[in-house]
Amino acid sequence: MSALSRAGTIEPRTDGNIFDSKILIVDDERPCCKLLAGILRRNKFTNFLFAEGGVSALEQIQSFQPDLVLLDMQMPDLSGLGVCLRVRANPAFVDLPILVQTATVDRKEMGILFEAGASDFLSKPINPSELVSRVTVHLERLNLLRELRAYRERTFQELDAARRMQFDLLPARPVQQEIVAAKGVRIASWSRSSSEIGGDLWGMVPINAASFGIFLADFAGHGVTAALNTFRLHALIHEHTALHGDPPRLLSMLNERLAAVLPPGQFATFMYIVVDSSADRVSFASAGAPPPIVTLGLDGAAVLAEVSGLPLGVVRGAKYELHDRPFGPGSMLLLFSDGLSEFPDDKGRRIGDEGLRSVVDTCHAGLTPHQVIDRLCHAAGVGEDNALPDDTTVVCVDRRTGSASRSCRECLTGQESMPEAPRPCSDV
Amino acid sequence: MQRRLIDQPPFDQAQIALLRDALGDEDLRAMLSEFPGAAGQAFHKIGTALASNDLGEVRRLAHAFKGVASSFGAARLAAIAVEFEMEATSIASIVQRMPALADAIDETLAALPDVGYAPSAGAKV
Repeated sequence: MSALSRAGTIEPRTDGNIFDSKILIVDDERPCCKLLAGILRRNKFTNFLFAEGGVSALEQIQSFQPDLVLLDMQMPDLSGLGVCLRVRANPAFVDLPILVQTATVDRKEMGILFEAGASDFLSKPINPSELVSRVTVHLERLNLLRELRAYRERTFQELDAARRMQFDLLPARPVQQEIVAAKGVRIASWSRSSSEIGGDLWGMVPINAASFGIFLADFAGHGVTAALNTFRLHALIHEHTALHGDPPRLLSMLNERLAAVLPPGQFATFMYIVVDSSADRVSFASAGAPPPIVTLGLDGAAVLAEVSGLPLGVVRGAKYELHDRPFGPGSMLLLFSDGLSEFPDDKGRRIGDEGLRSVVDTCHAGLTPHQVIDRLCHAAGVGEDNALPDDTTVVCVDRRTGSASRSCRECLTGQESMPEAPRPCSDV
Repeated sequence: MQRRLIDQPPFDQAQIALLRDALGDEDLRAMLSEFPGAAGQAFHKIGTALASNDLGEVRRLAHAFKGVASSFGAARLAAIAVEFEMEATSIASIVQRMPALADAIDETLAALPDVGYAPSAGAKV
C-alpha cells in the first residue's frame, strides 16, 4: 500500500487515469457516504454516485456502470453479501472491484464475503489512507486488466488478419484446377499452424501445358517470424518464373536471397518438384526437407525419395542436386512437413517418415487424395482438435484418376473404418 | 459498565487526527457538521424499533450507528452502540440503556468544539 506519497498525494503506478473512475458508494448512513466521498475527493477522485440500500445499489450498478463499488455490509433491504452475490452472477461485472466496508473483522464472515465475490474489505472506522490506497490499487488493477484485454483483442484481430493473408498465399482451388487441367492429376492438401499463423507454405506454379511445379516450405520455428518469412519466400518464388522448370537453380536462387536477409537461426526446409505429365516423370530438389513419398503406378510400392541438401538461408553458395523419378499414370506423390512425421501421440511416439510410408502402402486406389491425407493424419495421431506442437502440412499429387474402380494395392481387408480426421483444405 | 463508558473519551483523538490529515480543517468541520443530525436520527430510529419490540432491527441500527460513530471518531458513542448490538439480550435491557445513550450523545455533541466544530447552541438529543 504505497499509493500515498509522503506528501499525502496519490502517485498512480499506471498510465491510465484513475481519478475520473466512476465510484459508487453504497451505505444507508448518508454521513458515511459523505465521509468516504470527502476523503476521496481530497485525493483527486471526482466521479461519485451514491446508493442508500442494496436494491438501489444493484440498479445503480446497471445504469451507472461503476468502475468500483464501496459497499456497506449492513443495509436494511439487501445486505452487502446479497449485493455481491447478485453482481457476480452477471458476467458483465465479474471484474468489477467491490470493496466491502465492515466493522466486523470476523474471519469466518470475511471468508464468506470473499466467496461471495468481494474484491477486498475496508475496516471501520474508516482509515483514510487505507481507503485511498485500496481504491487506488483496485482501480489501477482494473485499468491494467482493461489495457491487457484491449491489447489482446487488438493482437487477436491483427493475427487473424495475418492468418487470412497467409491463407491467401496458398493456391486457391480455381488456380489449382487451372494448373492441373488436362494433366490427369488430382491435388489435395491439409495444412494447420501450431498457433494463429505459422511457417509452413505450399504452393503450385504453372510451367507449361504438360508440367507444373509444386513446393512445400517449412520455416524454422513458428509464429509471426516464421509467417513473415513465408511471405518473403512466396514473393521470391513467384518473382523468378524463369526458374520454375529448374529445381536446383530455383533452390540456389532462394538460398542466396534468403541467406542474405535471414538472421542466424532462421532458415527453411524446402522441397520443389516439377511434375511432367507428358514425360511421366517428376524431377525435384530438396533443401533439407522430409523425403516425399512416391508410389509408381497402381501396383508399385510406396518409397521414400531420399534426397539431401542444406536448408535455405543457412549458408550462401549451397548447391542442390536434381533428382528424378518415373511418375506415370496411377502414381501418387506425398509431400509433408515434419510437423506430421514428428507429431507426438499421447504416448510421445512419433510415426516418422517410414511410418508414413507404410501407411501410404496400405492406401488402395479407391481412396481420393484427401482420404489418403486423412489416413496419414490419423495414423500420425493428428486430429482436428489436437494442439499441434509444430506447423503441419500435407500435399498429395495423385495420378490415379480414373482408376478408382481398380482393386486396392495392399489394403488387406478393405474393412477398416474411416477415422475421424482433418478436413482437407482442397481436393482438386 | 457505566464506568467503562465514562472512561471512554467522547472522541478518539487518533481517528480525528487521521480525518484531519485526510480532509483538512475545513472539510473536517463540514463532515462533523453532519454528525449531530446523524446521532439524533439514530437515537430516534432505535427508539422507534424499541417501541415496535423489534430487537433485530435495534441491533441492526446499533451496528450501523457503531460504524458512523467510530468513523467520525465518536468513541464513547461507538462503545455504547457495541453494547446495544452485542450485549443487549432483550428489549427491556436496551430500554434501560437508552438514557445512557442520550447522555452520551449530548456529551459527544458538547465535545465537538474540542475537535474543531462548533454546532449551534443548544443542539441536543
